[in-house]
Amino acid sequence: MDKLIITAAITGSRNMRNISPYIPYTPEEIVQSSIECWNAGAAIVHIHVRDPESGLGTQDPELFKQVVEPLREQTDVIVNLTTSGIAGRNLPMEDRLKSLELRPDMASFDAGSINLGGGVFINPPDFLDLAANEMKRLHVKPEIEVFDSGMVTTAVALRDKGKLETPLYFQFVLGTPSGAVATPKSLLHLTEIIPVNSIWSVTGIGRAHLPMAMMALIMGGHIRLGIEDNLYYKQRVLAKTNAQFVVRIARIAREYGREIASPDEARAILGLSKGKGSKKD
Amino acid sequence: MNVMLEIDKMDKLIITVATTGGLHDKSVNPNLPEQPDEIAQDAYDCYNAGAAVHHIHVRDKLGRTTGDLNVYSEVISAVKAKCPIITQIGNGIGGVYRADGSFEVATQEERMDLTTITPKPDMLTINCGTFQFGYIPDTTFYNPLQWNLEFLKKCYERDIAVECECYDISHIENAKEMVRQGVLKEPVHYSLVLGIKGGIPASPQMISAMVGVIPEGSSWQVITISKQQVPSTIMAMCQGANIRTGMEDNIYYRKGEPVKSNVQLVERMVRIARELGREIATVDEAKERLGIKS
Repeated sequence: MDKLIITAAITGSRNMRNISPYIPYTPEEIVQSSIECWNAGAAIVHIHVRDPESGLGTQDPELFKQVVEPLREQTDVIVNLTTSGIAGRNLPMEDRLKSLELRPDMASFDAGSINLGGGVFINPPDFLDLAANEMKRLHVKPEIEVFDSGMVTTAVALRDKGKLETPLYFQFVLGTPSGAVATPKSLLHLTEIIPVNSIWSVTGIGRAHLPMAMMALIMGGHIRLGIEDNLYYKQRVLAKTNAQFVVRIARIAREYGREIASPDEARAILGLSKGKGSKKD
Repeated sequence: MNVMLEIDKMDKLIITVATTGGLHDKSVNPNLPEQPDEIAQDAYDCYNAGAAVHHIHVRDKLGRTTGDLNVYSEVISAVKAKCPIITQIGNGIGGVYRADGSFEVATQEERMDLTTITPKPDMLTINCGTFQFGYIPDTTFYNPLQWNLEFLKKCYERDIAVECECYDISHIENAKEMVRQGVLKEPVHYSLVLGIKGGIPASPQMISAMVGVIPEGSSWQVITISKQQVPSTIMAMCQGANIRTGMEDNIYYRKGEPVKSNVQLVERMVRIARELGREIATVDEAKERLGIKS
């Protein structure tokens, strides 16, 4: 079994501070939280940025830069930038891909459209083609976000066309309001339909967050967790930091006996070039 | 049954510790409790650590598995003298040595006699299907329907609760048949045993397949052995099932590190359950759920 890759999804773009005051908004807060997670064992940080004043999600490259540069200077963490924009408030395609110019190690690749965030999260074929081409051109590894099984089909078709390179790295996002449910069988089904030798990770949205992570732990998959995906550390207790989630899953992984992958070990598993873009290397 | 990963709706976690088993002995791990005082001490330590059920097999003075009812009596009495942990006897007994030195699975008569143990155990297991038991060469583990029904009736006559061990999917159907015949009482408490040679292999897929055919309202736990034991147990715990651990199932704490005591295994599972947010059932809570009259 590979060492466990932990991705911390720091802030997302959907939930606001009216439901949890602990959601990082500013680039400084996002950097700080990312560094805490990296120190706790996260190999990857999945980054959205927000307007520092309003807290609304944005794809502003300047804000991404204010997160990426300090992380490159201070850590060797794998930087994964979202290309989602804001679910339900679809941004122009070109704006969604501007973050790629910062040459992150990875970027999210939402492999299809789905009802989400009170609207439709639109990822039509022409956008996927464009995103895949841009990621390939800029050597950015796609984190293929899968909200339902058809998105695996879509990703495999793009691989067959040579637009996505193997090994494919899937992030199963389970338990969204209109997506695949977060159940053991749902996860098993997805792991059975992805190509052999793919790498997979899972995040359970909301209450299934921890049990889904523990399923991945024992099945040899990888784990994404954090305030983007789950506001609660446990029932009725809000998470105060993202690192809390990382620390807990690291404890459970130790009890289970699976080692945590360092960023460089994660790079090797994912087929990323070593320390690409990191000033440490 | 359908499995939703909703921790807040899950029952408290019943932890069973299988301290000894009926197959291996101290030659593979010297910390395995064999004699009545050792078994009772482990049961007590595990009870204090959070175990509610003690799954019991017994040994003769040489540490060999035996179906001797006197030894069962001695062990149950020794355990009950120390703590109120639920006592559960495995009705397979295990592989026993005969006077001529031969090693074989216990006979049907020896197994049926378990229903007469005094003091009575709180629970007995039944094994819901016949299959080739791969750990004793050329052994068929006989569990015919009529024999199981007779065994069940004898259990219920003495108010002994039962747990149904299923080593393959068809065994679950056999348990349902015993319910249809009006003998096995609901809710049924299923032990899904995976990874035994001759039975269903252990994997997340196989666990899900088995759970899928269990009727709603049943309780279930997963029993696997060796390196599959910890992952399968964690998977079951996440899904709202109860769990079993202990040196019957696993003599290594982790790869290359022999178990120091049964309580070490229980403590690990309690720690993981707490991280997950599942509360641990007390003996009284477990008795109520398992239908044990006390």
